[in-house]
Amino acid sequence: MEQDIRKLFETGFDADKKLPVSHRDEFQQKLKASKPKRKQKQGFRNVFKYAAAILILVTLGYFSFNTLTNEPIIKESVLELQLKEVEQQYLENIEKEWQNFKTLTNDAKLVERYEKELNELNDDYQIISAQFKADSHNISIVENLVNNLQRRLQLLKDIQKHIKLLNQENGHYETIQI
Amino acid sequence: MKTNIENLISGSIKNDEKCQMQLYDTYCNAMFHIVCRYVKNDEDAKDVMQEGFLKAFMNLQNYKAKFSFGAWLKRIIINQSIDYLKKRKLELVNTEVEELQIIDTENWNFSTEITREQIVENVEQLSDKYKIVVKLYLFEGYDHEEISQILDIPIKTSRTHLRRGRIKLQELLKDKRYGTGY
Repeated sequence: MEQDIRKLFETGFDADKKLPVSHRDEFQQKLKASKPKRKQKQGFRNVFKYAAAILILVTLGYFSFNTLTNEPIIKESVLELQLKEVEQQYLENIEKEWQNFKTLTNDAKLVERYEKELNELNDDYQIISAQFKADSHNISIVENLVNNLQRRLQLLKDIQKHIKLLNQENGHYETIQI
Repeated sequence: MKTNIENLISGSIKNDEKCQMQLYDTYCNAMFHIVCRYVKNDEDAKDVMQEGFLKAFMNLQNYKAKFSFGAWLKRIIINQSIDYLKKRKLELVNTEVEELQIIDTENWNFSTEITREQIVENVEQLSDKYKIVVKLYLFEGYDHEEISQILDIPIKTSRTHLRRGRIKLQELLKDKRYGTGY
C-alpha cells in the first residue's frame, strides 16, 4: 500500500518542543527595547503637534480675549480720553501761568520754591496716574488727579495775584516817588 | 475571532503594547514549532521566532488582509529562519549544472507503513540544500515559486533540489524498512 506523504503534512504538525518559561517576559523586554527608535521619531512629531496646539490655543485665546474685552476697553478709553483732555487743558494752563509767573518776578528764590512745590505735586500726580491705570474704575482716583491739577493751577494763580498786588503797591510807590 | 485578530493588528500598528503581546501570545507556540523545523537549538529558535515577531510588528502596516495573518506571519518567521541558516553559511544555490531534465513524475507515494515521525526524522538526514526545500514544500506547503522567493534561488533550482531530496528520502526510508527486517 502506498500513500501520498504530502497529505500527512497537510493538517500541519507540531514539533515536540516547548518554549522556555521566561520567553514571554524576554519578548516584552525586546519589544520595549525595539521601541525607543520609533518613539523618538514620534516624539519629534509630538513636539510639533504640541507646539501647533499651543500656538492655536494662544491665537484663539488672544482673539477671544480681544472680542470679550473689546467693550470694556472702549468704555475705559472714553473715560481715559476725557481725563486726558482735562489733563491737557490743565497742563497748558499751568504752563501758561508758570511762564507768566516767571516774567512777573525777578525773585529767583521764589521761583525755585514754587518750582519745587510744583515738581512735588507732579510726582504725586504720576503716582496717582499709576493707580488709575491699575484701577481705572475708581472715581476717587480720578478726583485725586483732577484735584492735583487744580491745586497746581490755583497755586500759580494765587502767587501771581500776590505779585500783582505787590507790583501795584510798587507802582504806587513809584508814582509817589515820581 | 477574526475581528478580534483584526483589532489586535490595528492596535499593534499604533504601537499598543498590550495588542502586540496578545498577538504574540496567540501565535508564539505555532511559530516556535515552525522555527524549530529549521533551527535545531531551542534557544536560538526562540530568538529567531522573537526577532521575527519584532520584524512583523515593524512592518505590520504593510500587512494586507488578502492573506490570513497567520500565513503572513509564518512567511516572515520562515524568512527569519532562513536568514539564520544563511548566517550559518548554508549554501542554497547548487553550483552543479543541471545536465538533463530527468523526466520524473512527481511521485510522493510512500509506503503506508511509514509514519509522519519517520519522515520528519529522515528529512533531517538530507544534505542542507535539499533538506530546506523539502521542508518548505512538504511541511509548510509552499510551491516552487514561493520557495524560490524565500530562498532567493531560481525556480528550476528549487525543483531540482526537491526532486533530489525526495529521491534521497525514499532511499533512506527504504533502507530503514529493510534494515528493520521487512
